[in-house]
Amino acid sequence: MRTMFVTAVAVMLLLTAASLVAEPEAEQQQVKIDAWSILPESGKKQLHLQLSKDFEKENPNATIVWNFIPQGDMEKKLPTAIAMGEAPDVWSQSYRTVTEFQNHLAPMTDADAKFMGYGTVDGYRKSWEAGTLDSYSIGKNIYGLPWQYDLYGYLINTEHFLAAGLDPNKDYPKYWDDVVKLGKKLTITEGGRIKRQAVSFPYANPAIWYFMMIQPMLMELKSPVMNADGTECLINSEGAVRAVSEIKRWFDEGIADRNISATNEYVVLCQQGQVSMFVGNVVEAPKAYGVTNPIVKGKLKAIPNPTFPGTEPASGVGSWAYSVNAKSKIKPWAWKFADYIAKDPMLYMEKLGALIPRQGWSQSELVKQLDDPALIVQMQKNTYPSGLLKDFTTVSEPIKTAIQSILYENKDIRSTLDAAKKAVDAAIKK
Amino acid sequence: MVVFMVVPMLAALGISFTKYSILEPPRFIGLANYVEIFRFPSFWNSLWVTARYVFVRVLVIMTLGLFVSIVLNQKIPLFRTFQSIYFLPYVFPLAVTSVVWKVIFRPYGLMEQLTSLVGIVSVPWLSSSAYALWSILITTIWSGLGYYSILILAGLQSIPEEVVEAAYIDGASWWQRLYRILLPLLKPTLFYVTIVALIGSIHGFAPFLIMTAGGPGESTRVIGLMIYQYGFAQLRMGFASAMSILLLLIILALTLVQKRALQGGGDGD
Repeated sequence: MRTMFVTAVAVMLLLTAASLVAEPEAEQQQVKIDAWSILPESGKKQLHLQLSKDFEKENPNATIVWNFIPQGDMEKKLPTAIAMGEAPDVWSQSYRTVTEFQNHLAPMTDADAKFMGYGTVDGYRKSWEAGTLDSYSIGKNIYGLPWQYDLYGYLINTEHFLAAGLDPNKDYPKYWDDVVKLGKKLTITEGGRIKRQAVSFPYANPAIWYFMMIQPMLMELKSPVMNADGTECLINSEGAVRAVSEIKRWFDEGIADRNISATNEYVVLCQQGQVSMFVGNVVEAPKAYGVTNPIVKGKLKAIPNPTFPGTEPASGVGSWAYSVNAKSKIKPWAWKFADYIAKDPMLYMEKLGALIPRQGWSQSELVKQLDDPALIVQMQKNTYPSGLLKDFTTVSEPIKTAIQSILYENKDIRSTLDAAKKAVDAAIKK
Repeated sequence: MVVFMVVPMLAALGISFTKYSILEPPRFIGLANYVEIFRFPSFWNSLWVTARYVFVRVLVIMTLGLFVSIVLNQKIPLFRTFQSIYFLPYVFPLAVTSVVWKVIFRPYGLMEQLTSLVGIVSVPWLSSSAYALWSILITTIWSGLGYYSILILAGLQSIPEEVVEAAYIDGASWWQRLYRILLPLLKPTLFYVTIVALIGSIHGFAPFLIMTAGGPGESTRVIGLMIYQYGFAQLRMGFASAMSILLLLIILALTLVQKRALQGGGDGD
C-alpha cells in the first residue's frame, strides 16, 4: 500500500514536472503571424517592419509575414478573405467599421492580457491613456490596438499670416466667424478670381473628411449626427443647419473656391501651401510637413478648432489599429504582436513626430518634442472619435451627398438636410 | 464561358434575392431588394444620368467616328500616322486618362487656356452639375473615338471601290454617295459599333469614380458607379446585385431592339 502511495505521488510529481516543462515548449513552438496592413511606402511602414524584426528577435519562435495592401484594395480583399476563411491573424482595422466586423474580431481575453504580461484586460486597458481604446471597444471588450492616432484640429500657415500682416500667435481664428474675417485677408485673388484659398473643402475625399469638417461644429453645438441608440438621423437639426451654413459661407464670402477644391486633392493643396487654414493632424502635420515633406511651403502652427461663441472647442480623433482575427489559432501571439507595434510612444515621436497615447505619455520626455505640448495635451483630453457611428458608411454617404449638393449646387440647406435625414433613416431601417 | 460568364450571372441573380454583406452569410429576402430599388429616388436619378450620358456619347462617337473614318479612308498622306494618332488615346487605361483629364479641367489648367482663346474663362468643369457630365463625356469620347473610328474604317474598307466609283461615274454627288451607297452598305458595321459603344458606355464607371465620384450631389452618379458604391463601399451585395440584374435586363432589351432594327433594315440593301 505504502509502495503504491509512493508510486502514485512520484507519478503525480513527474506529470506536474512534465507539464511545467511542456508549457515553455508550447510557447516555443514556431508561430507564424500573418499580418495585413494598409500602410503605404512611408516612415511608418519602415518602423513597423523594424518593430516586427525586433519582435522576432525577442521571440525567436515567432515569424511575422507582412502583406501591405493599399487601403482601397483592403476594403475589398479583407471581407472576401474573411468570407473564404482566409483572413490573416492580424489586420489594419478602422475604428469606424469595428461594429460591422465585430463578429470576425477576437475580443482580448484575460488569458491574452496575461500572455502579454498585463494580468487582465482591465489591467491592459490602463496601459493606454484613458478613453483611447474606446474607439475599439464594444462593451468591455477591446477589439483593436491603435498604431495610428490622428488628433484633428486646425493648422495655419504662418507664412501666409505674416505676409497678410497677421501675427500667427495672436491673430489665429478663435471663432468660426474669424475664419471668414481672416480668410478675406488671406485669400489671394487675381482678376476677380481666387488664386489661393484661405480655406478649402475636401470635395473628392471619402465621407469621413466631410465629418472631420462638420463634426467639430456639431459637437460644439451639441447636435449629434444620430440619436443615442443610432436609430434616427438628426442631421436636419438646427445645429446642423447652422454648421453647414457656416461652411457654405466660405464659398459665398469668397475665401474658398468651388472649382479649385473640386479638382484638387485637399491634402495636396494644403501641403503645397495653397491653403492658409485647414483641418489636419495637429501632432504629426507640423513636424511631418516641415521635416519630411520637402514640397510643403510655409510653416504650420497647430491651433484648437475655432468655436461658436459660448461653446467649447471639440477635437476629433481618427485612428487605425491592428485587430486580431476571431478565427486565428494564435490569438495570444497576435495580440502580443499588435501590442508590441504600439508599445513605445517615444519611438513614434522621435522617428515620425507621431503620437501614440500610451499611459503617461504627457508626463514623459516625449512632450518636449511637440511644438505646443500644452495645446496637444489639452486637446487630447477633450476628444471624440470622428465619424464613430454605427453603420458609418450607410449613414455617411447620404450626408456627404447632401453637403455636396448644398455647397456645390447651391441647394437649399434645410430641405436638403431633411432629405438626407429621410434617406439615412430609410437606409438604417433596412 | 460557363465559369466566367454564366456562373457569375447566376450568382448575381441568386444574391439579388438576399441580404448579403460578404461578412455574414446571405439571408433570403425574396424581392425586397427589387422593391427597394424601385422606390429609391437615387436609382431613378442614376438611370436618368446614365441615359443622358449614353445617348450623347453614342451619338457623338457614331457621328464623329463616321466622319473621322471617312476622312482617313481618303488615302490622304500620312494616313497610317493619323490612324495611329486617333487610336492612341484608346491605348491608355481609362483610369489614367481620367486622372489626366481631371488635371486638364482644373482652374488655370489646359482646358481653360484653350477656352480662353475664344473668350471663355473659368468654366466650373467638374464642380458644377451643369458641366460635370459634359466634362466626363469629353474625356470618354476622346478616349474611345479612335477605337470606334477604326472599326467603322474597317467596314468602309470592305466596301468594293468599284461600287463607289460606278456611282461617281454616274454623276452622284459626295452626299449622294454617302447616303445612298456608303451608309447602307455600312449598316451592319454601324449597328455593331452602336451596340458595342452602347454597352461600353452603360458599363463605364471608372471616369465617374475618379473625376467626380458621382458628384456634385448625384449629378454624375451613373448606374455602374452606384452598383460599385453600394456593393463595395457599403457592402450591400444583395442590393447591388439586384441593380446589376436590372442593368443586365436593360442592356439585353436595348440589344434586342437594335437586333430587330438590324434585321428590319436588312444587310444594307
